[in-house]
Amino acid sequence: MKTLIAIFLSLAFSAVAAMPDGHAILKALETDETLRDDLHASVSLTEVRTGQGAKIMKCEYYRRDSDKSFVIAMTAPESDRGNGYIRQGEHFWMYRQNTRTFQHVTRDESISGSDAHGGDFESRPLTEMYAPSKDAQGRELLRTDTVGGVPCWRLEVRAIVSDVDYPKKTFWVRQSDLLLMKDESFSTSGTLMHTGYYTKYQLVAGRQFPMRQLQVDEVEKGNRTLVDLDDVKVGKLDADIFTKAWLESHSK
Amino acid sequence: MKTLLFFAFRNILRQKRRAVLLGTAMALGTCFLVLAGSFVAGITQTLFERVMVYVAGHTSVIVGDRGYLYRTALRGEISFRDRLAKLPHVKRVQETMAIMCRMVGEKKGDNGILIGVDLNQKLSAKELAATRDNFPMVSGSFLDLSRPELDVPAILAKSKADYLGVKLGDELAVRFQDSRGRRQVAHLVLVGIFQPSNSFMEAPLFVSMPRLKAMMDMDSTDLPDLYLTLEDPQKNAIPTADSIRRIMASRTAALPVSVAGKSGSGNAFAAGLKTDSASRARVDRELRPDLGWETGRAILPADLAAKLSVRPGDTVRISSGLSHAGDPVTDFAEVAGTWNPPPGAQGLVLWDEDAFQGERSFRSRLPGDSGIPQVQAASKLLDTLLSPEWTVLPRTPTTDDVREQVRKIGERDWKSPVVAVRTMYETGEMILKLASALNVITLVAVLVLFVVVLTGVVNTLRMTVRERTREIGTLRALGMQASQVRVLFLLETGLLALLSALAGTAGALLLMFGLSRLVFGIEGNPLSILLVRGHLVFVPGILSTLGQILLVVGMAVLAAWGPSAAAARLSPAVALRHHE
Repeated sequence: MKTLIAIFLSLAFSAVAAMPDGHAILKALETDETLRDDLHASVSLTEVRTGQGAKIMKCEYYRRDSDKSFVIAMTAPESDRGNGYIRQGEHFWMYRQNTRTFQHVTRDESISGSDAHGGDFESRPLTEMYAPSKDAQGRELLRTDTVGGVPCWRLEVRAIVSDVDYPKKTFWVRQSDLLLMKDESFSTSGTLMHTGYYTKYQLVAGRQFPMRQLQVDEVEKGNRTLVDLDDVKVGKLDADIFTKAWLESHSK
Repeated sequence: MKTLLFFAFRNILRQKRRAVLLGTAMALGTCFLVLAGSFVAGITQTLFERVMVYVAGHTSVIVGDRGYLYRTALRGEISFRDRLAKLPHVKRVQETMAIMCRMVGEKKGDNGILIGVDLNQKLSAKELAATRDNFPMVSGSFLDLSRPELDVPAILAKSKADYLGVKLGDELAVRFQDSRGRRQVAHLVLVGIFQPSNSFMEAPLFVSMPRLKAMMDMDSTDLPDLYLTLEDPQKNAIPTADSIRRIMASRTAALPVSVAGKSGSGNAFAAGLKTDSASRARVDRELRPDLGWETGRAILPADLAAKLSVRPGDTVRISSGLSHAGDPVTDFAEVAGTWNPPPGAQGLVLWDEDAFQGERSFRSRLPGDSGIPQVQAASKLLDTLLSPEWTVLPRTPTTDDVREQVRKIGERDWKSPVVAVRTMYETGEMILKLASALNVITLVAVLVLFVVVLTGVVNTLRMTVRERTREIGTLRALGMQASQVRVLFLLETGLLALLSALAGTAGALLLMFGLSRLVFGIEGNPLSILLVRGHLVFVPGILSTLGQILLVVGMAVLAAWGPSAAAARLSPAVALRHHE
């Protein structure tokens, strides 16, 4: 009996010892989001809307975190080919090929009729926005769980600043390497509004990239978006790419 | 004159066929002119009284916040509503909120606009009738919006309710962003369904104003957009807007804060310091912060920095109190350096304007909020570098100006909240321009038509003069003066034109009556915005119709001048000798 108790105790201790604290998990997620080098990826979005079927959008995505710039050049569907978006610092423009004009996107303007708004593209370090939620005893709401059979840490967080989309979130990160597997976003009233699943990672230039993710709208049931990344390249990109002139010439 | 009138009538009746043909042409031209003018006036009235007044009020105060067009709240500034209500010619000041949302029903989801309705406002009998006419209820009642036993009662257009698959008593979810930019979802209960008078009115989802404010995380002291109803709006809207702009001039902003560093925290006041390139250079030159002035940074008073044991490059947490929902309002700032505030401004933290205004926009105001004296003491040194409570934007006399201003708000030309004062005649100036253009096009078309008709008049008169040469000679021989001969022919033409114009006007009124009874089933077509419940709207104005009749008569008389003068110039002796 003593041996059994000793085994259970050692298992318990080993589990506790392996469990990181909530802040470490948030920091790991923040590190995953941060890019020191520039990034290029071909992105495919399959948007399914209730009663409307699937719509596939494809684009080339160029990102440079050093000055918070990115460029999105649409390649599909045909009606959107040549259109694009460019962000330079705090300015965000939409380019329309048919009129050859750049139109400023306001912070609360919808992007391509989606749920995304201009303000959503303003990134901010995760640890500046959220902190682990705690129970009545002051313990972090962090426990073990599984996502698709994969052992995960489940961490509930709350916003610590006012300027966030969702005041409450829950993250599931893989125990082995703290990679994000799933997240849920809640409104102030605690209603689940959105779930993200990150189902496929790939090692590129020494770091893991979520190559496939599924974003599920929990309010409008049946609406979901599948995001696939391809041709991910990390490294210095030509500075000309992050200019309006490049986007305009690229769209011809 | 009486004799001349008698002769003129007699002559018209003598040449019945000719008069009927000419008169019909002129009547048709007049009919077209009156009909088109009334149609344009109808479109203008529909757009202003059934659309623009709901979009812009007679005069409106529009609030925007840091590049967000739909975050419409000046925290704690509701007293302006009562101040503006005391202005001359103001009948009513109404809080208004229009929030873009996604409505999710049983069957489908659709975009919509959440509109707050103030059920406490007192409407005149005429206004009440107009509201009932614009929003005739199919089921339920607008008064049900205040039912206390329901969380959020709502009223929706019939077409939207059918599309979403909801009926009276059903629940629908609404997703939106609150005044702090957070994504929220609310569950509404449908207590009323109305038949919209035009397609523009299909989008709103009405809820009571207090409930919408709560959903938007605003309290009763927060000022949303305001719509003012005025006496004689065409005359008073612009002067009232100018007065409001003067009344709403703002001061430099201040915020009581608590700053936490490595060794505890301290109470202070914060001011926003601008971060555009010119301001950054000036701050670097005059205040010399160690790290240089950038967004996300703060300059602390030297004594406060020492108390908190923070140095340039360290991060401090700046808290300013609670939001309406009770959440702490906090943010972080990197310490750029320290400064020694001038006398009276002790304890003043200089904070990046963007973050500072963000915190101001989230925090509920408290009685006795201060910091203003400290900021005013510092303003002698920092003047234009300091962020205002809000920026009152320049007036926008045209639709293009409004569009440009909206673009600039989006581009964040102003980091502080912004207040724009507009009138529906300026915002809808494009509609007035369009109406003028349509009127000009109509007039040109009618003028072309009349050139053809009046060529006929001239020809007819020339023939008449020729046919009646001996008669003219007889009349002259009997003592009629040359000028009376000219007047006789002008009277003949003028009378014919007047009778034709009156007949054309009567025809136009009959056509309007008939056309306005037709129902055009073009729901979903953008042009349906010009209709009222599927009907065309004509507004024949008395003055404009009189003007159109005068125009027709005047043109006819002008055209008759030449032949009449020729008749008057005839010598009686020559005229009497005339033989065909």
